[in-house]
Amino acid sequence: MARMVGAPAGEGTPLPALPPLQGSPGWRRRVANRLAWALAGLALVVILAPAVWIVAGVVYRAAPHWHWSVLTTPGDRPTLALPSGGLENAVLGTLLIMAGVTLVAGSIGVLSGIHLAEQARGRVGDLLRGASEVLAGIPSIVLGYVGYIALVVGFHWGYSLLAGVLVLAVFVVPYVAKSTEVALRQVPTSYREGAEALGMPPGYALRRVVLRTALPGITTGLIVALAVAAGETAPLLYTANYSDALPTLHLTHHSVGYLTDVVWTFFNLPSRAEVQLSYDAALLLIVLVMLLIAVSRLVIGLTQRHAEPARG
Amino acid sequence: MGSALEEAAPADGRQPGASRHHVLRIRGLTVGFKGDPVLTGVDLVFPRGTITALIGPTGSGKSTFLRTLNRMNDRVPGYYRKGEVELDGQSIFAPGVQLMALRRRVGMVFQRPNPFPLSIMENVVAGVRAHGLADRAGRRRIAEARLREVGLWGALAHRLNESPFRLSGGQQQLLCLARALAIGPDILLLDEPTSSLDPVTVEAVEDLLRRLTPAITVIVVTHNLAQAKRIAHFTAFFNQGRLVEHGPTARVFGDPSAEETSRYVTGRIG
Ligand SMILES: Nc1ncnc2c1ncn2[C@@H]1O[C@H](COP(=O)(O)OP(=O)(O)OP(=O)(O)O)[C@@H](O)[C@H]1O
Ligand SMILES: [Mg+2]
Repeated sequence: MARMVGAPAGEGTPLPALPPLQGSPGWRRRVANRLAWALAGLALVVILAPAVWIVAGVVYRAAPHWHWSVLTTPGDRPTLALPSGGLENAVLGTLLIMAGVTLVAGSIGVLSGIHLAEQARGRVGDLLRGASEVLAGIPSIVLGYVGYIALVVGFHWGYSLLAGVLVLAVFVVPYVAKSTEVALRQVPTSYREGAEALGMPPGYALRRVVLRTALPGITTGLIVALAVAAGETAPLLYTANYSDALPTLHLTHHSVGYLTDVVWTFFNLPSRAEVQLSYDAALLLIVLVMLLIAVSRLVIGLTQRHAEPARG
Repeated sequence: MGSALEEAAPADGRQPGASRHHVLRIRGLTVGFKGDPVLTGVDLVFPRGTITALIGPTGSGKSTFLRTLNRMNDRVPGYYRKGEVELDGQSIFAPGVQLMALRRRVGMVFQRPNPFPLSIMENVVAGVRAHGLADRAGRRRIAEARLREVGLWGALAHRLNESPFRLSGGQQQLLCLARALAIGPDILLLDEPTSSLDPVTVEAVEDLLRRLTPAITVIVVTHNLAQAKRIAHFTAFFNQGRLVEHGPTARVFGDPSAEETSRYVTGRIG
């Protein structure tokens, strides 16, 4: 319907005359516009500045004394260059824990996200979503303590990889499930209907068309969850304890070292070598998270070759 | 309806399909979503191998009708239905009916092109692959044949591994047509398939639909009355959820029996 300018009275309220094409917008609009941009810019700075400051600070302190041998020296084998030992045990421990969390939280989280988006409607769905939100709201240290009581003591697993992985997985599963659900809900109806109209069975359509479309959202959610898990210390203190020795593949009864503990504990120790190690560990954590992000971008890039370009 | 079939001949003088069987028969079909019905008491037959145009003002229930024929409404919340749709004499709503099988026989093309986020090649054979109809080499042959059929092969032969979203809107729609045809349906449902296409592509699609008959029965919703006149053997006029009139296209447009139809086809309502 064309807009009627100066429509006859009785047919709604007449609109004011059209503005000239040339000329500047009113000052109110200009001020509002500037203000909005300024606030957006400020928000960006508020987010970016601390991130840049932290990364720069860590690199600045870690780089001058960096020894590649920290990667190949475990904490219980001091060398001349590394009088307090290296970080091999902690790096491997963190990688093992992350792999475990990816496996457990990734599968459970993505599957529950699929269930929430595709099946759980009505009351059951609301119940599940509510439960998931409650779980997401529990502080990680509480989860760690529960894990200690239930897994370490109750199941007699002792301080162990399995207990650490499970507690961290429980901690991040709600994020993974939520981001998966949101990503699936954003898949255009036209894809689902197109698949349905071709007679694809629902499970097949989900795998071949829907999940593929939702993959960037799901991957991003998983990476954020893993990054959060990588940065957690409290739940691991209760469940994995810490060990200077290289981790083994034993699931139970063996303490495991990990980077966040080094950052936290060694920073407060008196020797310079140990404080130095805590900066090295922080740097390695940051690099690890960046690698995670890079890998996820790669996965997304490879699977989204044929994706619909984002509509502005 | 028998006499209607005899009379039916579109402007270019083609005869409708040789078989007189009605591939689809709709009986007392009433459909709604929660509240009042959107369609009431529709009785209609579709002779095998013909093109039928569904026309009517916006909101008259054409899309709802079309989507009932391949049971796309089944999962819409609040959907209810009375009456029957018989495909070759069998109810499509009978308990044993497999939706996969039904949709292999009754294909659908939507108003807006909706290629999948797969390569062009994978798009054409997405259904073929889902139904396990051909191996890899077979799928390639099918893709080529169908792209030739819709007239895209020349333009796309070297771009089969590209994303379909780099194609023009018209090309995307032709691709969706090729995808629907690739699984070899008996019946093709099209909901305003050309409403966003340029005149040249529209003509290409219309030519294609003509060539598809009598092998395939085509049911096409259109707001373009000239298009209905050009391609349809039969025309059904819907208004406010009722089927007002149905018959050979020339008669519905030239000598409508209902006053409503006459007003619509002469452009006075809708
Ligand atoms: N999923 C739905 N839920 C509720 N009401 C619906 C739904 N789909 C269609 N309707 C209603 O059914 C009526 C007919 O809609 P339909 O889409 O079939 O009309 P149409 O004839 O195809 O119109 P158009 O020419 O604009 O496409 C409309 O009043 C619409 O609001
Ligand atoms: Mg419609």
